[in-house]
Amino acid sequence: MPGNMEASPTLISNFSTLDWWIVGVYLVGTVIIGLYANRYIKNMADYVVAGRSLKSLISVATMLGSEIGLVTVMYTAQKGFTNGFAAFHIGLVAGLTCFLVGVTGFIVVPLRRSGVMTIPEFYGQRFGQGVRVFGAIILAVAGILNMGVYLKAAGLFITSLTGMTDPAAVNLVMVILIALVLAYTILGGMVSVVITDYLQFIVLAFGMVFVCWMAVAKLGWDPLVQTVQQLHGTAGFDPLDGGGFGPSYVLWMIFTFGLVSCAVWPTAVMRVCAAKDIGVVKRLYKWSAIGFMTRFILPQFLGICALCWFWQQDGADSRFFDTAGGIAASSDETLRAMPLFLSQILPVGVIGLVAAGMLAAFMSTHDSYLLCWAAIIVEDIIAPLKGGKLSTKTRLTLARWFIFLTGLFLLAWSIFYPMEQDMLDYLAVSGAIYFTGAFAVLVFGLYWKRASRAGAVAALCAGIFALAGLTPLRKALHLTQEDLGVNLTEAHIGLITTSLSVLAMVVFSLLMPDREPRETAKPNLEVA
Amino acid sequence: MDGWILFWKITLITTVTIFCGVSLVVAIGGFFDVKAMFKDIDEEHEEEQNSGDETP
Repeated sequence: MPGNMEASPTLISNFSTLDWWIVGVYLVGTVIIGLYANRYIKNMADYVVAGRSLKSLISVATMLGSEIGLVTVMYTAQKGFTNGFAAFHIGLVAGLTCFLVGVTGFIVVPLRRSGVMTIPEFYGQRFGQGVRVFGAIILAVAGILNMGVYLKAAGLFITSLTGMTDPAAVNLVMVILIALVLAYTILGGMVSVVITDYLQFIVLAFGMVFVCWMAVAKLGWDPLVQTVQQLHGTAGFDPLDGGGFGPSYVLWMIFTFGLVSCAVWPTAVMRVCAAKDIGVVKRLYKWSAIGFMTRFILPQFLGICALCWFWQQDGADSRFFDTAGGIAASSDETLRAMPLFLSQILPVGVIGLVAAGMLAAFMSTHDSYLLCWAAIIVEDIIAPLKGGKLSTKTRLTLARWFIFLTGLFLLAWSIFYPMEQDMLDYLAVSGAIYFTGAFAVLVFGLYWKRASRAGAVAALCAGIFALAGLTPLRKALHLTQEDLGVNLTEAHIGLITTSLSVLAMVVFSLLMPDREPRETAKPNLEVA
Repeated sequence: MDGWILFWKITLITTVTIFCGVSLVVAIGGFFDVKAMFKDIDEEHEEEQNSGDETP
């Protein structure tokens, strides 16, 4: 049963007219930057990878500007709220893995050396154009599906922070946000993404630290620990405790938010492709490691602060808690907890800056992702199908049209998809449709000479099994605990899918080897 | 459990401290990198114009 919403009076937000002005000025400024950047766009390389001219520090800023987005802040805060301090393990493994990728150059260095702009382009180099198109279709579908809940998160954040209580307000906010993002992504491409990411990184980095400091000053450290202890017990601190995350979930996080999010996920790989040289790539990962860690730990900490605040304010049988003191609210409600908490503790002016920073972060993530999927659809699906005979002007026009159409789909999905699991788990599962197969294809394609076209196709197909991790589908396929008698979680399905993809790659490569080794594969086999 | 509490406290403090330092360096250095990016793109366009080539 959801938490007793009637038991809690409507919260009055501190958001004022001054805060609206701050948000307005910031957003208009961002659109102007997009218009300004348009003058640097002369070809597809400028539009997609900013002419491959990014140096180390701006690469770090733009990588973190994209990856520390509003959506990340929302879903990681939700994990802190629902799982306590144990959720910090996600940030820890994300940071450590990113640093290790920077030190070893695993996947990213040979990928940059290959000179490709996108991951499917690598598939094409290594396994042929058929695999490129097939892989790109899976990637685009999974990526856009993954992005489908971003708008909803942003809508919930803004309405909660500003105190909008009308149920239609979330949809209205989503329409306005997607219109703004589409306007400047379509106009400016990667150059505008780089500039806005840089500005957003500064606002968000210092804003997040400041907000955490305010939250601790307001609540104190000991009450936070006591609340988590009372509501979650040992599982609120120990990530290996079966009552909370458990070992399989931790392993799943090491793979998804550790290795995949920094070395396989296309938007992160785009930064690799846009880097000036291999030295920049390695520095980018070493420097970004702390950002990959922070993007989870700080928002999770805010989620814990929200948990403590609402427990102290409302107690059991309230908006978020059942009569026994357990967390009983729906996924949408627990997503709202962190912004509702901020709306109560931040003073006028500061709350406007935080809203502007978070909105900017949302736009920063959205523009990178829209650009990435559009580039993949044009460069890796349409262009190869047309035999590469597309002019620069046609490519740019198509990319802009696909950005627009993707935006419309995202709006529809955000409005109609019934979210029945934590957002982080939805993102991991929908992303897994692509990355479980992509991981096998990339790793074996880069490091195993005998990897074949048949193996690549089989690995990509196996990744589709990850769909079973989405709660509505799991119910439809009768894969729930009631049907099976065992609790088959998102983590189990993800790990099974990854193993299947790797197995498929190895078995089919051995059974159906390529007749002739490809010339283009040779440079990619070099290891840093 | 006390061990975990101490461990997460140290993790949080360390993360925030290092992140503040990295953010400062990236904020200052990134500004110069943005300037260099514009310069590089302009130069590349000039070279393309001079050679009459067009990047696909």
